[in-house]
Amino acid sequence: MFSPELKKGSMDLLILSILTEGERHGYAIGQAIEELSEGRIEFRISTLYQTLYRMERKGWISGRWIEKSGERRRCAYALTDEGRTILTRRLKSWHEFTATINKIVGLTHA
Amino acid sequence: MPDWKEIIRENLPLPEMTGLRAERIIGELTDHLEEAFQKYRARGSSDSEAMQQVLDRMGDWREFVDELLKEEYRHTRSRTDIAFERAEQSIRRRGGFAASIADTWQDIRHALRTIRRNPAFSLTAIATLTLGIGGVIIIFSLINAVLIRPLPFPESERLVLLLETGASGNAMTMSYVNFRDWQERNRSFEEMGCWNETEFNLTGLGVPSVVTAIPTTASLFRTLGIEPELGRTFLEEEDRVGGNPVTVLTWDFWQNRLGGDPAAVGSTLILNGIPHTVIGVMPRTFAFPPDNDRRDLFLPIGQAAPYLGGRTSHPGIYAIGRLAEGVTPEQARSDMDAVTASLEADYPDELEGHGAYMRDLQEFVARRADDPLWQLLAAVGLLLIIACSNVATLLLAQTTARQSEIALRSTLGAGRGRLVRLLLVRSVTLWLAGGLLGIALAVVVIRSASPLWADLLPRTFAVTIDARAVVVALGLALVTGVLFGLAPALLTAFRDPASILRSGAGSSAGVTRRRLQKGLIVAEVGLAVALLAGTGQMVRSLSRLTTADLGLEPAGVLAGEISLPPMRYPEESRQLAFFTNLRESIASQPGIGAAAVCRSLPLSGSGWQMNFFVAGAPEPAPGEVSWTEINVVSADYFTVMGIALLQGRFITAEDVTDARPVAVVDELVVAEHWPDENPIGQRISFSWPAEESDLFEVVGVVRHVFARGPIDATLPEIYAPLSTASPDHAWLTVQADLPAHEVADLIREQVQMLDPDQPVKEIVQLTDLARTTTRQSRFVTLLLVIFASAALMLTSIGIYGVMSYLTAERSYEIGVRIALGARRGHVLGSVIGQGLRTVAVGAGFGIALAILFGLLLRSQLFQIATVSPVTIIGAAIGMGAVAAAATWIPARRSTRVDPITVLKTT
Repeated sequence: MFSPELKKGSMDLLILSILTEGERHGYAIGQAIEELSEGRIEFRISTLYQTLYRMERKGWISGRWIEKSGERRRCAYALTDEGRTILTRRLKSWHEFTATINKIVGLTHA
Repeated sequence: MPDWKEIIRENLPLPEMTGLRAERIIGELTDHLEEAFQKYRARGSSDSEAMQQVLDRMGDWREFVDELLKEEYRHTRSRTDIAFERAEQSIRRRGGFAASIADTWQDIRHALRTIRRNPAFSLTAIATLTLGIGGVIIIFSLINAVLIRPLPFPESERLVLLLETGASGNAMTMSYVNFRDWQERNRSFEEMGCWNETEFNLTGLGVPSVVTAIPTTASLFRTLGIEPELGRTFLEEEDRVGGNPVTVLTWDFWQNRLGGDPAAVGSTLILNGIPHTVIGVMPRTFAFPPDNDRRDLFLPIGQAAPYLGGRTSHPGIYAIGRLAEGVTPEQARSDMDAVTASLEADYPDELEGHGAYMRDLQEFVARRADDPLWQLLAAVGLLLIIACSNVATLLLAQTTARQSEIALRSTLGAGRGRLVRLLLVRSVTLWLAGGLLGIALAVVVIRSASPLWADLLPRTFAVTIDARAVVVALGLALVTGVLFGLAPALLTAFRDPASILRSGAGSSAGVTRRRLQKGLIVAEVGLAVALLAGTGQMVRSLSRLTTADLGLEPAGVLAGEISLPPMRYPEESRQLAFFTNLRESIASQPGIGAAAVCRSLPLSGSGWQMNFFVAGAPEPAPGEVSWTEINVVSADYFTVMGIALLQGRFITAEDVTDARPVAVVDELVVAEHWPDENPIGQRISFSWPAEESDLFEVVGVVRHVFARGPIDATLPEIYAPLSTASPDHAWLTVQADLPAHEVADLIREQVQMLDPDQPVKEIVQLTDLARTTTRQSRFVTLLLVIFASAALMLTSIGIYGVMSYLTAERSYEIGVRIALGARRGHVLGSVIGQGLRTVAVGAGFGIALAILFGLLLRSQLFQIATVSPVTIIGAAIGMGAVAAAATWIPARRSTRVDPITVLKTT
């Protein structure tokens, strides 16, 4: 389990990454994060939706109602162009950040 | 499976968001929670375990709502809001007491948000409380000014009012000579002063006018402990016969008549033709006598000593003493008993039974007002309880709607204490808002009403909202807020949270809540019935008062008061000639029915009381001497006043011209002295033993006049010809069919023709005077009518609210019954019946309460029974009718709906 601050800081990045694989509804996004992290990252439901609504307002993702036959109406989220740009920028800085940290940590513990 | 949508709706109050947006949030969350629930169920959890797990995953609802709304209103959030939040978070991190303050602060902010989010509910509640608390504060401010706040004199608790008592033990105003002896002989008062009131003609300052003057001893100002604003007050050598004519002005007179010119001190005013030097001006806040702030100036009383009479003359003098340091009122009383006993020993003929009356000055000033004020406070207190009950019923309905949220909070670990506090903070916030607005309401009402009640109560000029009133308002708001908020809060917080989440509203707490709501309605109806019945009694009493037979016909009678200054009218013959000429010249004008002159005008408060004796009867024992009201009148007096002749004849013009020793007595004199004899030809005197020349022969009997209005009893009355007493001061009375202002002009014109320097004081209509005798009663009744109307309105709103709520709860049942074929009329009847049963219990309780309230009002009731079944049952029926209407509207609405719709949506 990771500390809440760590999770909160990386929430935007996780959601944007998940959505690169196609549009998903809220529950599915949460499930995907849980599964991919093998249950090590879990969010409060309220936090998940707060983040989704904030990202939507900023224009990084967009939600729309879709209805499939035999299924109920759901709101699915997809990445916008701006979201992709943000994701690219965030990934870049994330890699740089982790690389730097690893370097320092690796050096001291080598 | 739990109804997730319903749980979410109840916990996410999002009315500020557009419908679509709120719908989407609720829809998405519902999906999410349902799927999560299914997932946990599939993993083998029971329903309630799965539910608990879902709720654990959900997180803090309140934080979520706050975040959503913050996001929605990001641009409208002020810097202070953000600063508050930051401060709150940093305090909470420190833990302990600071954290609990932060929690309370958070509760308050939450309460304010809740209040903002339900504007209709909040406005109704706050307006209701404003009315209730504002009403109490208005009456409290009157009580505060009249009864509580000390009189504005230094160490005023040491001031006592002093009067003489006669052989009968009744208090009467003082003799000037006796006062001077008291002043000299007592050993328990630091200072003693006395005063009476009179009027002077002021000339040389614009049109001649009449000023109200207070002749006082030089010691009065020292007794009160008040220094003048400008100049000085009287010296002892000015306060005796032959002293320099000087005067001290009140602030208002100095401002209004002399323009506040500091050079006024040292200038001269012509009073009754004599130049008086102005030596001082009293401070703005100085009101004297203490119940009145409308006097013009002060004069040294000692200069008028020869006109004030001897030991048995009581020319309206009141005295005030300041108790010496360390002397108790009891010690002062026994000292005064010794003083009066020594005076009685020195002057046994004149002062038989002489004694002193002593009373705390403030109590004396408030003596006529305390009863009605406490009664009004009781009435407005009932109104406040009704208002609070009303808001409590609204809160009960609201808390039911919030029960699921509360249950969630407690599932999520919020302690019950914290929950109760959260709910209490909300109700107290509402009540405090009502308290603050109530203060504002009181300020507005007091400001606009002060001219209306100026003459109705003593010291109304001192009515203000002071710190004490503010503390009372907020304290009252706090106490009633906790009292009336507690039941809804406890009822909501102390429920088994799981049972609410499973079943939604309803169940056993629903029963308790409905009982409470009905209980509050019972209380409201009961209190309203009591208030209505009390008001009904006062209205009936007032109608008796205004139609009471006073023994005279005030309609069409005008009177003007005229004082002839002794400088210009030194001899009685000239005074008499002036009034006789005036009467004749006015009576001869077209449109005038009759004109007369009298010494005392009925209903004006003026009067003259004397002992009288029947010639030939044995000498009465001390204490059994008869007292009578004496009036000297011209011819036609009885005709002008419409006083009926019962026997013999009236006083004629010849009686006056020849100063014949004749008298007309009223029926009370006859009943007391000659119940079985012919009163005509009997002889009476005003002294004992009487010389032949002191005797008056009774020539007529007239009806008794209630000269102080219908409430206060008056002594029997004897009338003698105008010329038998010195008529330096008298009333001209006129009976005419002309409009009042024409008659008034005519009177002024005729007076000016006779003597251009002679003013006439304000000319009054007798009907107005008759009305003023009942004004306190009208004031109390008017306020009660306002309070009772407000109570009726609030109670019907309360009944309407609770009935709407209860029928909405029953809408499913009603729908089923109608769907199964029940006749709408029948269902309607059963719903109304449910409401009216509650109202009937309240009305029964109200009847008992009305009897108590009636007893409280007893001192105000005139010629009607204290407990009047007709009024009380009338009030109960009236309340019942209004309640029936308030029940009928929601009941009819509930049975009008399409049963299919109801069944679908429930």
